[in-house]
Amino acid sequence: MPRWENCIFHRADEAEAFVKAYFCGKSVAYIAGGGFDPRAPAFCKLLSSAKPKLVNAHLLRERRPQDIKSLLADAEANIKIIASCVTSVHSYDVNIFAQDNAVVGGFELLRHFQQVDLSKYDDIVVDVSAVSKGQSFTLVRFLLLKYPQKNIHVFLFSSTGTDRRIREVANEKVLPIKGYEAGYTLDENASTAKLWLPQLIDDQHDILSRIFAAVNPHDVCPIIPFPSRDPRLGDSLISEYRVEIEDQWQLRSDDILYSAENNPLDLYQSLLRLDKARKLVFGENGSVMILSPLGSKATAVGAMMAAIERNFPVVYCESYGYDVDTGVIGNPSISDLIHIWLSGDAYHAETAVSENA
Amino acid sequence: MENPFKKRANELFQDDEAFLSVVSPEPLRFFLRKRAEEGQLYDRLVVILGTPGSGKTTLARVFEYSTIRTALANQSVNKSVIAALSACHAVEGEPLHSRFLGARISLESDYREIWELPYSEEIRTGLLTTLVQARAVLAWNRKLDATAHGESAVLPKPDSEGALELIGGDLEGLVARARNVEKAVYQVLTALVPPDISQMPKDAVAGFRAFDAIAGFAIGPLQDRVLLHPLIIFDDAHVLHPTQYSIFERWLARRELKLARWILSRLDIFSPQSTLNFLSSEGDSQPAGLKESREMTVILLQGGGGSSRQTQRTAFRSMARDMSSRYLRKMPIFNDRNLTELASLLSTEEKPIPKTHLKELDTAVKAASERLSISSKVLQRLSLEVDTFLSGRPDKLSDIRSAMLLVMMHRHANRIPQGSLFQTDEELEPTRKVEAGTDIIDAARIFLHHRYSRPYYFGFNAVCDASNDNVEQFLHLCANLLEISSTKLIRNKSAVLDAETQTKVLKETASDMIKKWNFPQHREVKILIAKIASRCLAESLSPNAWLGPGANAFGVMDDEFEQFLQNDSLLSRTLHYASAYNAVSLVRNYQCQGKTWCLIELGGIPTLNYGLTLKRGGFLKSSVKELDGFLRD
Repeated sequence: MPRWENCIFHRADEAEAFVKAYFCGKSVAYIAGGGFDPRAPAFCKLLSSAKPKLVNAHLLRERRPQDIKSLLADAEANIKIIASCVTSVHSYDVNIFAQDNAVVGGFELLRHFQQVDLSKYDDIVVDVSAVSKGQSFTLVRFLLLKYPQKNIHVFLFSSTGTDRRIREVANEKVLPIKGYEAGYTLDENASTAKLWLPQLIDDQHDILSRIFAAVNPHDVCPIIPFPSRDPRLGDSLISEYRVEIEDQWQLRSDDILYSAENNPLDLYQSLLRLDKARKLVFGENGSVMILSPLGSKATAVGAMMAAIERNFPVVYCESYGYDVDTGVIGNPSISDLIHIWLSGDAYHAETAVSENA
Repeated sequence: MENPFKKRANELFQDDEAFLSVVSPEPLRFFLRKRAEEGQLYDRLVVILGTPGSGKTTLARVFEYSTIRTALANQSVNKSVIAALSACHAVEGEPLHSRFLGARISLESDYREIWELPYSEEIRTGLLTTLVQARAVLAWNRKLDATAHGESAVLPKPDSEGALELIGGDLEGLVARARNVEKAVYQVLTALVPPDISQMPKDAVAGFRAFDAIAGFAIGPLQDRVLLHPLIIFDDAHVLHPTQYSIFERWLARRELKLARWILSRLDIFSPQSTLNFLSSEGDSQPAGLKESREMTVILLQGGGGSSRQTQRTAFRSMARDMSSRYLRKMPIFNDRNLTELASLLSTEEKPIPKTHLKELDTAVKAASERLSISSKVLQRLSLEVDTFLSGRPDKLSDIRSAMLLVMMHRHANRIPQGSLFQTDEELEPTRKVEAGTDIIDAARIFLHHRYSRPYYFGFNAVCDASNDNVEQFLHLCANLLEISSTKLIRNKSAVLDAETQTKVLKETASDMIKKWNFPQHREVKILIAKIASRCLAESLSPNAWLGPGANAFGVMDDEFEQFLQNDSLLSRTLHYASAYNAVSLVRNYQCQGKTWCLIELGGIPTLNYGLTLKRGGFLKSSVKELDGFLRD
């Protein structure tokens, strides 16, 4: 049975109600991004309104070579707001790039959290709203490994509108997210049938082209959000990527995976079904599904869950910086809130995650 | 079919036969032949350096065993590539066969991550060299498998039979062991929690000294064995940590290693000071720590390597011609119509500016002659000079004539010495006679381009020159031109692009490419080139066109630049990436007016974008301080 077959999942008002009911009186390790994203302090305010016994915040300040000063100022402001809502704040600078421009964020993140003991808390909350995918994926997998019995929750304010206004300036290097290598560069997997599943978002032709060239898949199955808040989003993405779809990837109309924009479990379940179907054809080790979660954070969480469960490689291009259109980013709303309870009291005690890549 | 000009050859053409059909053998001849003849290519470490798109990976792929086998299987079709390989001593014998079992490994995945592990440098180096050797064995095996050699054997070095036994013995054992070793090291480097040294998998720490044990490979039946010398090519070495790279290079440079081994790298791997020093020479100096020696051969693609810049430009044009023809043959829309010469699709025919603009220009000429007090006699003489020069030339057009006259009048006026109040112009002769020449016609062109949008960038040579001897840049520029050309064919029109269309497309492509730059320090590079270009343009359009076709470079005194290289600064880092990614080129020891300069020359793409001359040599005097100031503003 899939690990998260009966996943505890809440959205919008239900998520808010859950927070207010569940976290009252709890001691919470709250891990979140201490960055410029306006969603950064939003969950913390909600959490504090639940009157938990204790909330110790561990904030990740992602440092990139092309950090813009105005964004750093926004980050400071967000940290102040978070600090006013919690018992204590520990800030960790995570250098995403080393001096020689190698991507080392995952290593730095792990070095920090290997030294931190979160076992004393009732619950660990990971708010991925303002944490980049390259870090949140690694962090969640590590926490599931280190605290397999602990209550671990993922929260996020998922707003595709905000995601599209914060454009990544991608580094050219294509690499797996730390913890999601899954052996896809090993020689023993050289002849496995590779299916690449990129999550589409607008205006990412270069990144998609780079990843496609690096992965060199036998087949491609792009993931398009549907249903979505903008009902025409799927059509516009297909139109935008028609050259890739027709010429480069040579797809047919049924080679596309549709996934609900604000329901991570939809993509999670679809990916597991697809994996199962491919194993019937290619055998247990004859096929690999390679994910690239470029799109919304909600669907990225679904991809992450599937990758953890079935050990899929996750491949991306890290962001060198961001181009932000701050003028039109609105404040997050409760209708955007998503909660996934990943492990702990709600699940079977023997559940454990495999570390092996 | 997807436009092949839009992709790199090695990405688009996975199949060896398709790849060979588009690869030009010219780079092999230009960069490698001489080294092969001098015996410097296969018996020592070879480091091949180049900017992105300079053709490193394509070059390496030609030397892979499967590619050579495919080429030899169809010698009549692949004649030119085989001839180049033969000239590089990569094939021999009767019948011809490959001398080497060549395989390429990209260092992009996994290796740099080893340097982040919490172990001593010695252990990390051990993991790196172990993984590299395991993967080399697996890469060679894949090549043998792919070419369906039923009987293959690995040959130990003399007195190394025992060492080979330790790592597997025969080929099958060696490959099995290599797989286990690879997996073991991979487990360590991908672990979320790196294991203690005592808990590390045995295969990861025991070492795997394949390079010390293997002499070669034997293929084919016993009575007909062919011996293959191992060649391993490590691509994308710039991804390694600089310290890791130095260690790796030193390890591969050891004289006791008998296999052929190449490293392909961009220049980013070196310090800004090293790179700037290296790139700005004519190939005489190497980055610090990278000394050409008996242990190492260093080859710089795209500049340097001991050849003059003009020689390289000529060689690149030849290669580009060959390559573009091969690519056009892959496009049915052109091939079916026998349109396989790119030069024939890029018209060099010039048309004068529209009549209204011409009238305006003639008015400007007349006004200038009055303002500069040019007498009718002088004007007549200058006009005769221009007419004589333009006589018989294909660009003898009225607008060029008028623009040349304008420049010459200004030059004449500048050269008239101060006379007395009562002297007329007719009595004064210029200090130096004003003569019509190619510099004035070039000046006329750039003036007409900026004032009246007269086409400026057209013809095959212009596309080549704007490419900075960089294959990828050349293909990118061509791709957009050919999109238009193919659309015209679909509409039953001539495929030939006029000068106006070429200029428009080339400039738009350049602008788009600059917008998409996202290498390190790209923001600072954009600021720097914008400032340099702005000043160059202002001087290029000066009325007397003292720089002829104009400027596209800044010149700093060479000894000042040498001093500047000693220190790390924002400017040095910016120039480092600017030159590593073709935004600028550096030319040291440039002699002009009795002084020695270092030129910071704008690359082809910025030159197109800002409408400057593609001709080399025109520069403005500047200083490190001024350049630094651009970044601080």
